[in-house]
Amino acid sequence: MSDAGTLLRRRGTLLKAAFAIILIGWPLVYPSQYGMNVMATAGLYALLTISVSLVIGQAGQLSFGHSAFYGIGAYAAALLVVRYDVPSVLALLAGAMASALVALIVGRPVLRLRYFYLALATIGLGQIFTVLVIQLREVTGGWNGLAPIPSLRLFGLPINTYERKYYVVWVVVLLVVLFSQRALNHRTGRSLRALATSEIAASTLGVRTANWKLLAFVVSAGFCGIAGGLFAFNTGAVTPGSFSFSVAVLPVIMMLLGGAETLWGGVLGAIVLTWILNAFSGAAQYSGLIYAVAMVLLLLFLPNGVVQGVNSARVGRLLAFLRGGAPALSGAAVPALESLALGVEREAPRLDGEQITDHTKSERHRPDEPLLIVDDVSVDFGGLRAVNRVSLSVLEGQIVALIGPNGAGKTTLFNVISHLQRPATGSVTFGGTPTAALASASVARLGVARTFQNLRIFANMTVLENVQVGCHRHEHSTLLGDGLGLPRQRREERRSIARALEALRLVGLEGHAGKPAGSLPYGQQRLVEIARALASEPRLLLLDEPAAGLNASERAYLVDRIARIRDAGVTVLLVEHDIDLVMGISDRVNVLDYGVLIASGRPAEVRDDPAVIEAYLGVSQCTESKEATCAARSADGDGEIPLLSVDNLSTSYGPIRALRGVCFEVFEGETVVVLGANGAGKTTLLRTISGVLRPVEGRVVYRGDDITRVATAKIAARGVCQVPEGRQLFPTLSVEDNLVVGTASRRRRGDIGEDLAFVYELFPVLAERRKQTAGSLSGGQQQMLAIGRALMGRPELLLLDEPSMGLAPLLVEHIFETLRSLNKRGLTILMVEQNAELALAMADHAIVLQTGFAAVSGPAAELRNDQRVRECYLGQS
Amino acid sequence: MSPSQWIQLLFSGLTSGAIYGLIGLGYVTIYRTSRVVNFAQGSFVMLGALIAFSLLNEAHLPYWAAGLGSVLAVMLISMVMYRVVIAPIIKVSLIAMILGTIGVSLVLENLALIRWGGYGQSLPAFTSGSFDIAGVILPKQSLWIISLTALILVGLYLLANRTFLGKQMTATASNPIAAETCGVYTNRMVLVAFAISAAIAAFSGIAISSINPVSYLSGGVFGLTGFVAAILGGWGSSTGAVVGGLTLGLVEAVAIGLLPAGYKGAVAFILLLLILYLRPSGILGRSAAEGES
Repeated sequence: MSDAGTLLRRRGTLLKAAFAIILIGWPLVYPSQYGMNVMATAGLYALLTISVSLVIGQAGQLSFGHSAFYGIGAYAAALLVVRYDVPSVLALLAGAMASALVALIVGRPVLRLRYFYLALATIGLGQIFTVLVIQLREVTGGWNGLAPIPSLRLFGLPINTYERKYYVVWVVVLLVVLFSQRALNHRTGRSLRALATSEIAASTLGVRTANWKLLAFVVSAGFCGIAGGLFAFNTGAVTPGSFSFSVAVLPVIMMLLGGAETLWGGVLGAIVLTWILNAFSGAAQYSGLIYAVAMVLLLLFLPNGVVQGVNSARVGRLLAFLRGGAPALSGAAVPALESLALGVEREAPRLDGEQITDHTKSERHRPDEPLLIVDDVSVDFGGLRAVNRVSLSVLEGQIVALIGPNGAGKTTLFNVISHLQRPATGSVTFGGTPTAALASASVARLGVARTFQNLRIFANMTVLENVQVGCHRHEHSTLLGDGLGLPRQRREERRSIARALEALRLVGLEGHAGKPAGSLPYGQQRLVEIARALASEPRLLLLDEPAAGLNASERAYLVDRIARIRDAGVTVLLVEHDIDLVMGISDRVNVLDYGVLIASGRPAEVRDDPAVIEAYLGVSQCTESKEATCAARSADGDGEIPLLSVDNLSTSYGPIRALRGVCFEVFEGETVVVLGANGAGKTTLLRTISGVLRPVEGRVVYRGDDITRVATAKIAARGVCQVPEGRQLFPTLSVEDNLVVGTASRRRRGDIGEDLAFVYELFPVLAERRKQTAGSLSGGQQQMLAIGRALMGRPELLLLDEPSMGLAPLLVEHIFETLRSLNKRGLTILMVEQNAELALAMADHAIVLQTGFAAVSGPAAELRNDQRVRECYLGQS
Repeated sequence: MSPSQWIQLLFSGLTSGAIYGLIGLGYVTIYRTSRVVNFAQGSFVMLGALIAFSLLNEAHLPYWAAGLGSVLAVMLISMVMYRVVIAPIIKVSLIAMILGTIGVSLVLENLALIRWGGYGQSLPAFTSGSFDIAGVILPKQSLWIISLTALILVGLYLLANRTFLGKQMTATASNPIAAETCGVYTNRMVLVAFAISAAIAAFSGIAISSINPVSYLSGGVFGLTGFVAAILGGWGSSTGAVVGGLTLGLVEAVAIGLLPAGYKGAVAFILLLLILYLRPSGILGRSAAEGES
């Protein structure tokens, strides 16, 4: 097995060597001046494509500045030679330096922009360059440009034949490719790809993203500058027309053609497209059309490039050999790598055992002080206080949990600790250092690592590379070391491979190191994220819902791993909804509710705390219980057709199965409530019924019609209206306009006035604020508006998602009272609610979901006293 | 320069500014409904002028019919572009979407090169002649352009705030999923936005070509300048686009008064970069947080 890896890499090297030999050899075999001329142009495009790949393909920054940098290199070199008689080689290098310098000056502010702002600003650079060149006539020659430019002289040899030009260009191309590709296979490339996927995740691993972006920008400008200089010397003239917008676009198409993943692909893309365009040089007006159409087609059908696009085919495999190196590691290549890493007599500190404890001790200030102190922290989002004066501390070596209902502020608090979110009040102290003034990368460098609730994995990198990004804060090599493979860089790389494999071993994924991270099942991706955080050898590990979306056996495995991580000396702070998991492994549990810390203590204490029970289950606010009206349900036997029937419904978010075979029915006139803890699949269920999500199996039948695949808007038109979770109003529209949009589902809209009057009668406060924008309403009013908006569609079935969330008790009562009266008037209601007591009091029938299954179901009155319902929320005591 | 020359210059700046604002409105109309930044907007401007030119001079239609035909044709092109290219790419990534619209604009530009060649074409003014007020000559066409820009702005305002269609479009922009669940056909709304935006662009093209000859390359320059206008005024707002356009037009006019004429092409971008340097938060504040999917 281990031979296969070396073999693969050797074949990769061989193919690259073959490519180089063909490039060097064919002019000797077939000395066509035309061919060499085209290839010299292709070589210049290859250089531009490499710079584009660095900035767009790898770092994900949509810059079109390369035509300007190409031009700056060309003009600077030409001017130095023509006007100041500078030796041509020096002028060439000076041109590249000039491009890089300009990039350095404009880079920092421009790279703060994103996407189309960045695209526009960099197109602007090209435009400004052209204008300046045309206007500064005394210096640049204006429209006429500079000519003649003497040819390049290398060691006294004039580069003035097609053959010599060809060789000079391609030697430069090969050197640049080899250098850059090596850098991309190591720390430089990992940092760039990481920040391209997620700047947030990269910065929480200690990657100073702004610096790396600037590095890519400056280096790529330098390469453009070299290409520009070579262009000037090869053609003997520079004019403004040579550096137009098409010079900025063509390399992008070449990169798309070759695939952004490797530079070699881009070089091939440049050669192919240059030849194609030259073939049409007789019909010049068509050449632009050809590359433009090619660009659109490539984006439409092969967004990952031809090289990746036909990966399964023979061509793809052939090109895969070309890639070689770390990114192309297949599973088979890993043992070879591992032995390579193990060869360095264990320089890397081991993550299991005592060494790591020594390591953390050396960083510690005072052993008796808590590792993390959160003091009086508040966070505001607009008018909403998401975290309210929370103070807590975490002792070194413990597993501490943070739990609470949805929207309690847990993730927000995490973001404050890892400094992705600035608190409105209070402070965070880690290991004796206040973090207020630090960037999130600096906090990470202190030893705080984290995972994310919504995975932020670097899906375009291998598992090993992902975890190696975790090693970033312990590494020092940058572009030069990575590109040249200096001995220090090689030692460091071996160390971080060893460290990364160690972290992978700790989560049990060492066998998957060479696979693309995106190809792993969801549960394993979670573990990759944990390993990535571990590889940074943190003192504190923040785990945000690590068990979300995992199945039972994966959960058990995860618990075991978290315990091992603690035993390895890492302090763990955990946000998790799986209460059994939390109670099982935590030393201490903190409970947040509406941003307030309502309990803190050992698991057993917290479980029996009345405040916690209330936060999770709610208190009964309505004493009159609806009599168990099983009448409707018993009509079942009479063959009455249910209004809605959900049959064996399963829904997935990518690899996460959120609903697993749920069945139930709703009869006309009923109120049915769906209960369950966070993450049980309640919202998913409603969204699947309303067509926002598509199930992987099962059916939704409404009034006898299968609506499983019907478009969302059409489902609404049938009378199924939804009050979505979190209201989802249109904040810039007025209250009344929100209501008016609610009628979009109706065929006849002539009598809107009546419906408006009905809603305003139901919620008089909305009538008072009809001209206000929806965004300016309070939470309770927004909820009323959301219900009103749904009612405007004249629903026959109202889907309600957490109508009580985030509202004061009095308002909740008002809203439930309204719902009850609507139900009495014949409106059928299917409601998701976390406040179980309240919901059961008004419902006829209830279903309790647990991790996507319908765990309990029955008449609401019976479930009110059912111990199983409580267990679904708070775990078994 | 004499004061009357300056007034003349500023007035022509205002006219160009109105056109930049119009083009900016085209970007904003699409963005507000779909979050798509359509870099092909400039090509719509160019096509609007050239198609009208052909209908007028080759098909010998009356001016109004040529203009209307051109606007309808560009609307159709825009809707086809959305359906065939943008809708499929939009799900891939933001970068792919931007590259896709650039690709379409290149296709349209090169088709225009093949059809109309490289020369600039001019259309006649809507009504010829000019007013002479105390030595300052104000062409009637400028007044047409400025007042029609105001009219279109008012029209867009009424559409967004007074019509059911406009409200549905706003709803689609602010929360597509919630709009769907309310029964709004969001795809149709985006298509309508592309059509309206193309109509505005085509009209701007016709309006410009009586002042500046339009060639296949003009789209790029006008498109980008209009985009800059939309950003200067506060990205995403219709009024902002027009205000930004007028500001840009005036600044350009002042620059023409003080600098050699050739620098005009760089003014918009230098202004853009200056704004980005000086008030990055003002403009950044409106950009997407972290566009990760």
